[in-house]
Amino acid sequence: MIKLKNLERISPYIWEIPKSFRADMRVPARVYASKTLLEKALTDKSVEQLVNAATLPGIVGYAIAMPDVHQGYGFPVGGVAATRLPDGVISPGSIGYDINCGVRLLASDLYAGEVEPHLDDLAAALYHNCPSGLGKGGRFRLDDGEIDSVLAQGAHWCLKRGLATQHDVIHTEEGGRLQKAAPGKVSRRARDRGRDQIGTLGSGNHFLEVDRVAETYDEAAADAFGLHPGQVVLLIHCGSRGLGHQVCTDYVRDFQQALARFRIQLPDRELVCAPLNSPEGEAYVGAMQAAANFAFANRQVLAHLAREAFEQILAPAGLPFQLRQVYDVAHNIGKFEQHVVDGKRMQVCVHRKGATRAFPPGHDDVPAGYRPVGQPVLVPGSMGTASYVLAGMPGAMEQTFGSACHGAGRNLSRTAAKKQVRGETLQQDLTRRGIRIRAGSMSGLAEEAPFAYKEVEEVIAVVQGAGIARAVARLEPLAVIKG
Amino acid sequence: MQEFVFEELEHTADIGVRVQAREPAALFAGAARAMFALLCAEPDAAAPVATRRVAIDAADIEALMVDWLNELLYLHETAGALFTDCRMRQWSPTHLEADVAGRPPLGAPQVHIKAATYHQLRIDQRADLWTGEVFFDI
Repeated sequence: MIKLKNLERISPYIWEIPKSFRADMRVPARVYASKTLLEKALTDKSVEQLVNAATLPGIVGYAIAMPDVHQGYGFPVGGVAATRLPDGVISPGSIGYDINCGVRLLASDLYAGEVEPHLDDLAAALYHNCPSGLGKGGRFRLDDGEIDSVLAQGAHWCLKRGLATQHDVIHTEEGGRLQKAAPGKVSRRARDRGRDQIGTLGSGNHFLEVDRVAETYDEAAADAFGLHPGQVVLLIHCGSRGLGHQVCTDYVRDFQQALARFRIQLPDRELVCAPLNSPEGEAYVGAMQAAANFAFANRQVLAHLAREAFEQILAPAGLPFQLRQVYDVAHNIGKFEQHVVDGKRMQVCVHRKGATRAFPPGHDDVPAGYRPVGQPVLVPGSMGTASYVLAGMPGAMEQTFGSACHGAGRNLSRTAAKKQVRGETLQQDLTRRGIRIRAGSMSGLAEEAPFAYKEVEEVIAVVQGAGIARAVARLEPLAVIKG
Repeated sequence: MQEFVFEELEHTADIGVRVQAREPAALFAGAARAMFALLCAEPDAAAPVATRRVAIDAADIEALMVDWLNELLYLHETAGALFTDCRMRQWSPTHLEADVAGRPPLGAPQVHIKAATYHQLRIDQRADLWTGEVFFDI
């Protein structure tokens, strides 16, 4: 069990476990946290899992935990690890089963007061248009040829189908398409699972949320992102659905069999990995990027279906129903990026599992309109509290391989949350506060109770204090749609 | 005791099950039943509508358990059924063959399970009692 005394405080927000802590560590581990958040992280296996991540062959710099870190499986949720090319490893479990789970923000020209009389109908239309739970396939059922196109083209497939605008794809991480995608490396099983899931939300912590911009903190960035107080916006949180889950399952299984051949010793089988320059590693990169493209397309189709719901409900009232994409970010992904390590610029594979890319002002990969202020970083809070829009800062490139937090981070287990509140009671409480809730499962709703999460403000204070990202706007929920 | 018993295990973000049985084949059948009980409050409520033959080969007993449960999740998601009835035709620590029958879920699913994982996976035998612990990504 790792204790507070095992960590050295490097700065008010950075805590380090030296490489000497355990013989198999290849780099030190760093946790970005306040003392309070660190103490919470030490109550489960989060930090131990971070130390395990520091043993991955080819890891460079530090194994890093964001302030919203919590225990995952193998690799902590809220973890970042960069491995060197060509012989460092790629680890499917360090990216996650929900490949390219991420968040999309769309902004309207509406004020909350204008939408309020229509909010019940809008929530119902969003719930109807965007199928959420199991067994509810989407409007689109794809044949093999179309699945290949989605896997290769991501959000650009939507562009060709009239389900996206050029503005949408420009304002998506990587333009909504990862270039090394290899559809041929995605199994038949993964395709079967994803065949009717494009444009579906899934369940668990995935959601659609109609929000109001409660406050802005950085006027230049808020202007660049097109956000202002009182404005209605829409957040979408979901990923690659069963297709991505099966890709991870397939490669975790295949890599188990290959591990002995690579002579890699690991402290946890779920960290299983393969060298990036091995046939197995290359195959997973191709399949993972294809699944990531499926997720970009999935969020794009959901955005299209949400736009239809806005039009259906608000156009008859003569209200402007259009939704303009602000940005779309991945928070479970492996990316090939240039970073400076020990004074040398090098290409690395950045594993982000529950961590968001946060590129600073001036970075070439930030869309032109946002380049003066930095990349939008979308951080959903717990249901019924607040979410934040941040902007990437130079500190992210200097310290965290261009990464920031992805949410509030769980504080209580799902079982403990369900013991403390019933879904129906929670729904009534939130309704009394003016928040409409549409959920497929009351039990699932209880698991996502706000008290099961850390205070998102504490998390934001750390990334801001460490110079990784800065707050641009706070969003407060008006309606939540869940699986 | 019954052929197997199971209980839910807590995890910060995900969820697990502990299963106990006198026979390893029953442990594997019990793990499947426990997984579908997480998905649906009454997984046995409807009559079976789908049957499948499942054959798994794995390097060791832990991999066999993970692959077995992930195979059932795949069948569940593509057939839309809860494969709670498992009749083991053959079982060894590295191979199993089973006939599984799936029932349609009644009501909304309680959770969506992405995968069975190796995280904190434990399978052991003490005296004549087999115990398995599996955590799922949800």
